[in-house]
Amino acid sequence: MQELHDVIVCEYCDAIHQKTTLSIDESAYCSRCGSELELFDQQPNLHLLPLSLAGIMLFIIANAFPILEMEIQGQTNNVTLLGSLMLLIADDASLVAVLVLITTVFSPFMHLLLISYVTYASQKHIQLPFVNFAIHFLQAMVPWGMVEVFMLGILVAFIKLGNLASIIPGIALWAFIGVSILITIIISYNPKNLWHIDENKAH
Amino acid sequence: MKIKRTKHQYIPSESSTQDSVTQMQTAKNLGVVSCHSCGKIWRVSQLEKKCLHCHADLYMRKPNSFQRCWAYLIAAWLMYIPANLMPIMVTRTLFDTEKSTILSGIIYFWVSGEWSLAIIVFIASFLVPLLKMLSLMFLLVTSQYGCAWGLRQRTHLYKVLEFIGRWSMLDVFVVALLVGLVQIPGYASIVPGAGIVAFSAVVVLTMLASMSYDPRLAWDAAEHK
Repeated sequence: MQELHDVIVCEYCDAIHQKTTLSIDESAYCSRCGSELELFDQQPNLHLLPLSLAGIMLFIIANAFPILEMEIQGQTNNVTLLGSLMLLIADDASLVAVLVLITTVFSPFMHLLLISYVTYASQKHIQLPFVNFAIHFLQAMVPWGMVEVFMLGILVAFIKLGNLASIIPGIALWAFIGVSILITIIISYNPKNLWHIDENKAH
Repeated sequence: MKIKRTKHQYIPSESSTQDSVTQMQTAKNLGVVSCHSCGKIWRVSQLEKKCLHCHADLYMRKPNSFQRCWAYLIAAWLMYIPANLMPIMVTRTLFDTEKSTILSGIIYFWVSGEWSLAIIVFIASFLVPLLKMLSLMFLLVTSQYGCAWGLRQRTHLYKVLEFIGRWSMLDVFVVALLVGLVQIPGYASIVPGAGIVAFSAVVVLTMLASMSYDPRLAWDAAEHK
């Protein structure tokens, strides 16, 4: 098995292209199907560690505090993410609870945690165990993270109940907004590039 | 940010034909495989090998793509029926019990004047799953019959499907939040209905279906036609 360094393969139509060096703000597109082949590597991995650590902190706040509070007939009730999952399980909708848990808690949290683990190892030039496994797991997890869809869900629930009762946004709502902004920035760095962090440094 | 469109040159095939589909050399024809995980490109003698850089399994095309995609898709269609007919949540108040389905939730928003919200929920919960399943069927049928028409557009359609599928989770999140929030003993409570379980199955199954579809097979089939 021999590695080819001077070609690039389109992942959507399998056309093979000669590699050219991209300069800043340039990106290459497949001339057969029009898909993006590669972007100029701006080496943003220096920002990844602080961004994901900030994300982890916000994420803990987002899960520990109520997202929305409702006041009706002098009674107040609030909802935390984990609290609503408990109720879903109690109401025989465990499948839904598991899905919500994976998409809004497990996947984004693993994403942030593993990104910081991998980038920490590369920045400190130390060999940490399971880095390969961590990147593979991260790549499998990314499509299932749906924090931004959850944000829209909060908005819809907010308006739906707004007609019936007074709804107060909780601390976790602001934390969730922060988490989804941070994850959007982090995800713009293709996880594929995590495999090549150390290579770029060597050149 | 200004993005400049630059085109890579392609390696001209030795026996190049004028046909628009076959005018480009593919990695498969050259015995070259790119790792789906780390993007390294290898010239391989035989398959069933692992990538030397990241140890992921190497394959030219996603294994059993058509069969797996059809299986997930048929399961999704079966789940689509209870997802739309059964209530996604049940609201119990002192006086009555109200069952709401996906469509009745959209109608409720429309009637109560929240038009923008009605449109958002209509797109995310009704149009997206339906169009996604229909489009995947269209992609599978055209690829399996080796249709050479609109290959670029079909590839683009697949990329759109990959991007929008996740937004149909919206209703699942709304129900989860309402169930958690509306629990006022003796006044009102909301419990999830069987419809939301079926609906979340539809979302997961269509996501798995689009993940197992391989757009490269469409180009292969058109080439061999």
